[in-house]
Amino acid sequence: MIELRAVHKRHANGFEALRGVSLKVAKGDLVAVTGRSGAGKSTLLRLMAGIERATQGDVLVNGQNVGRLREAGLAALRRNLGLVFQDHKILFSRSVGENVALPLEIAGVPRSETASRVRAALDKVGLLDRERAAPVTLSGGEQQRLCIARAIVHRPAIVIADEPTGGLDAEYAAAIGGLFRSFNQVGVTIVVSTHNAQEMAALGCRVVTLDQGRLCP
Amino acid sequence: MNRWLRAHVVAARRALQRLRDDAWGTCLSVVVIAGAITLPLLLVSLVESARQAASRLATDPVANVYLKAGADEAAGRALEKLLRGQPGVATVRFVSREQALLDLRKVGHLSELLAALDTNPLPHALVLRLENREPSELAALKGFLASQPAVEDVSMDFEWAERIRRASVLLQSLAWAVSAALGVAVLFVIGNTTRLQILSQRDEIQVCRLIGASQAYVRRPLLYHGAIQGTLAGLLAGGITLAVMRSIAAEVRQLTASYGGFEMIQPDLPALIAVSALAGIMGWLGAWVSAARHLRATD
Repeated sequence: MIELRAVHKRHANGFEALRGVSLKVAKGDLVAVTGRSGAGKSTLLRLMAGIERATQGDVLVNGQNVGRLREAGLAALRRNLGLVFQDHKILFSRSVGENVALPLEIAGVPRSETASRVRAALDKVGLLDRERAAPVTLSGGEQQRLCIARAIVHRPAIVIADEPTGGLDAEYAAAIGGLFRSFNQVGVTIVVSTHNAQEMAALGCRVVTLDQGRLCP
Repeated sequence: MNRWLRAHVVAARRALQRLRDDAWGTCLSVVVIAGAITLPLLLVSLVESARQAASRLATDPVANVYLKAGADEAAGRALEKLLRGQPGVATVRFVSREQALLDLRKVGHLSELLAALDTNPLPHALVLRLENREPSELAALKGFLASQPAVEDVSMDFEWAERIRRASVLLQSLAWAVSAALGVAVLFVIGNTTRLQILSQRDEIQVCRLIGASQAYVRRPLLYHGAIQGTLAGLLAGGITLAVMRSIAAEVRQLTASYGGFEMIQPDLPALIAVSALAGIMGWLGAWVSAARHLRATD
């Protein structure tokens, strides 16, 4: 489903974030990418989502070489992924429900269907009663759950989550870990980057560790 | 509703929402664009009115040659004979002073005045139809006619009408040039509005792009935004032009009554719809150019 072949990524400032990373994520896998800050976790996930391009090597998602996709191909790829961002990327000018509806609006889903799917996604993350609320009124954990609802509302086969539990207390982090576990149990392939390897391992994740841009054996 | 149509309905709704959210800014932009459209629209309407009025003026190349009071009919006939062979003269007709008086009496309001006269004050005259309107040739012919001993005066009344006709044609070209220049200005105004839209929605555009929005999805509301602004400005410009033309029409009619009247051409409904549609298309085009240029920077 996702395959990285000897991927290198050098940033514009010369920093080498990834050094020959090869990784396979099969359909239905739940993979946790761990490592210290600056190990290359976020870069790895951004390459999978086509947000960045590898300097060397190939990134294949659903058999497509992400590095060779043009603008329209990349947009289509991202429409089939569920992305959870470290900084949430919430639109504060829209309500919670409207934020969650965004991927459906982009995919051209009818409004009648959108409403029911948004409510279902919000229900899954425990935010159903906040559908009409302004995102600014949500706590950090609620904003993270909003971001997760937006990532799953269009029923993607793959969810890529960058530090979804970062900055949250243990209770919230466990709840979010549980959410990913439940999505995975219904067949969604999940790749999560996290600092907390033990917690993800406890959920039954396959844990891969990055250190200075290299995968640890 | 199919997917394509749904995407456009969503984009149009979003554009209307943005226009409503920034009502003051929208009003300012619409007024500025309307100003740029009103000026050429007004100019074209005025020039078209002048052109139509000029087309009603007699511009036949006819010259009237009035003989001196003492010149008799024989002198007139001799001059008629001389002028028949003159280059540039198509036809010559001698009008005796008696005939001229008879003709003048047929003009209703002058008959009483002429009846009060003891003698015929009119001179013998020659009416010449000319072959061309070239100013240099006309001047040469006029000089030749005036140099004849029996000639008192030469009148070429069509000259001023011809000058007005030529001036109206020139003004029409000028009006179209001004229209084209201000059309480009409209493109720039809408392009700049679109650029500001992109800047103010930079975060939203980036998030949409990150979760799979195509360039077309992001661009569509901007295009509708430009088109709606253009259309509204076109309607406002049409309304202003109509109001101005109506307000000056009565004055102009009164002023030109002694010259046979002069009717201002006011833009009709189809013309106003065409102007609004054209402004809408220009708005769409301006937004497209600006979006193509500035959206790349947000990626």
